[in-house]
Amino acid sequence: MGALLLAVLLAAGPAAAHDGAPPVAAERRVYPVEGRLPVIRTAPEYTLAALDGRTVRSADFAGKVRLETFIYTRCPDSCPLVSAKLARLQGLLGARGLLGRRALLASITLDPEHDTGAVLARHAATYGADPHGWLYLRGTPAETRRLLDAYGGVARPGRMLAHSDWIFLVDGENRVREIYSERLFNPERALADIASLTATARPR
Amino acid sequence: MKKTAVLTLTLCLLAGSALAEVCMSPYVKRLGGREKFLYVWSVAVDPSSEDALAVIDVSLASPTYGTVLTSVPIGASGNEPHHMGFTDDRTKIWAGTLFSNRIFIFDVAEDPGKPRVVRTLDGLGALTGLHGPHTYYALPGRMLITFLSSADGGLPGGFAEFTNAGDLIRVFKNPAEAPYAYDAAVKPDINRLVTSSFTPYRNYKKPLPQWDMKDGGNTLLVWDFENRKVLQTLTTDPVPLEVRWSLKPGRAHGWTNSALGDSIWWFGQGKDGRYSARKAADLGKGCLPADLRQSPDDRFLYVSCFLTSQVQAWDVSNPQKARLHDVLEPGVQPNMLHITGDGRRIYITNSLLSTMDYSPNFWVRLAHVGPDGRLTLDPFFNVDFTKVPGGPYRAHDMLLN
Repeated sequence: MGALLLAVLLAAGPAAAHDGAPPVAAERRVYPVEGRLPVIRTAPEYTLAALDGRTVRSADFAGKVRLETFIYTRCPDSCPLVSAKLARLQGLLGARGLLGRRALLASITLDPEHDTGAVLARHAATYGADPHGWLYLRGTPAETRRLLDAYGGVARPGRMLAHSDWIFLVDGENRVREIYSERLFNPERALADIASLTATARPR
Repeated sequence: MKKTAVLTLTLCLLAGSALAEVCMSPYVKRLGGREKFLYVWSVAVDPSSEDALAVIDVSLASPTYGTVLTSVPIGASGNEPHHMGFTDDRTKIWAGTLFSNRIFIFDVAEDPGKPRVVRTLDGLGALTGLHGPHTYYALPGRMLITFLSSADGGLPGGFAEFTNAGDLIRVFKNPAEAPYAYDAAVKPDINRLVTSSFTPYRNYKKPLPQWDMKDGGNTLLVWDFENRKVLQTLTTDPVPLEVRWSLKPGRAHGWTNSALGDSIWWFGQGKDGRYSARKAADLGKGCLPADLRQSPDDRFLYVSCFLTSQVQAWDVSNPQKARLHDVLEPGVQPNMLHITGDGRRIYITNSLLSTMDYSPNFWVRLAHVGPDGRLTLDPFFNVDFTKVPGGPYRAHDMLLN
């Protein structure tokens, strides 16, 4: 085949050479080369309000593993699916004795102007959220926008509710260790990941 | 959960049951309706021009249907634009270059008809130890990029993972016994990644008659995807290129096209859990199968024969024994194919590499797929890339939006 290929191409005439500049020899860095749950990035810090009105800072979660997602109560597509899967995961975490003590779920509203504390509380009740382990959080519009941008464009500027379905797994040192998408999010798999991180996290 | 939540969930699941868009990472957000824009990653023919991302109007109702709306230059020629891919949220296109080892990140969310470069990843050799970014495979919030070479243009190739913002997460080098790299495809439901093998920069940078035809791979690697660990090395005919998993959930098999074997190979898992590979089709001597695509119903494979100027449709109802179903002659040296989510249309370009193209006529054409799976060339859709303003261009990879 190679000979035929050459014959055809030689008959057609040589193609123009496009030798680019030779690549620079690599300055080698050491990277983790295998394994699940690499450090993807540092999670953005935030200050938000919980349903009971208390102020919650991401720094308060140090030592705990958390799943963080962005939803809004009028969301017609992925958010109800995310919330249903988190409800399942909440049950799994509770059964393993991890919920609240070692691991948290955090649903942050993308739409704080509509999603008042009362609206969010009704939404949380719909999914049976246990306030000790599944937090619904709300920021000012400015803080929400800043957080969405800091998380890599969860929602597009000017079209705030056109959003991704990312679910972030954050370790006890505030580092993103996995990003799930709703469509392929498996609560049992997430439980294994959380359990793996809690086994190495230092409770504070 | 309460009844209201259950009802909402049911409606959401029904709304999401549209046909999957094929030959793309399963993590990429699907296109809601019919395509409006066709992006074409284009190599400037004239060294004094700039390589560019061209945008073709493919909105049927538009008065400018079938014409180039704009081409976004990237500052120079000689980069060798090659493949590209969407981020999972479909807001960005990552488009890379095989000679200059760069990746251009275009925003296509703000105005899909006017892509805009928002970041250029340069110095990838020093950063990753790799050269020649090839496949752009979206993962949630990240991109997995295969590279054909090590930073010095030799071996091994490998892949690197970046955040969607363009920051490096980690690098994997191919193992010494299978150092050639090319494509990558993930089957998340069975936790498997398969990668294929081409030839490194030291070879493909030369005009084809000067290539060392023995400097190429003949392996597929089967990986434990979640742990990024090689499980098996499979052997095929020389230079297996595209990796296409069966689209049916749970199915642990797929296909690849061997460029120098003129063949399609099946790979899959046996009852013992081990993977094997075997030839599923002979494409005819001298085909040089450059691209391999599949229909959304898993019934047909479409392969472009770069040297014999055909697009062949193969029935893979029996996945290990493909049967030739139809042949289309779209024009000289067809290469990249891009099939729509409904499986009814295939856009075709005809540049492979500037070092391999043997015709100076470059175009983008369209084939329709009939209910019987047969292909018909659209006589009214023929975009001449030698006449595009800013060009002439060699038209290579495509994406739809």
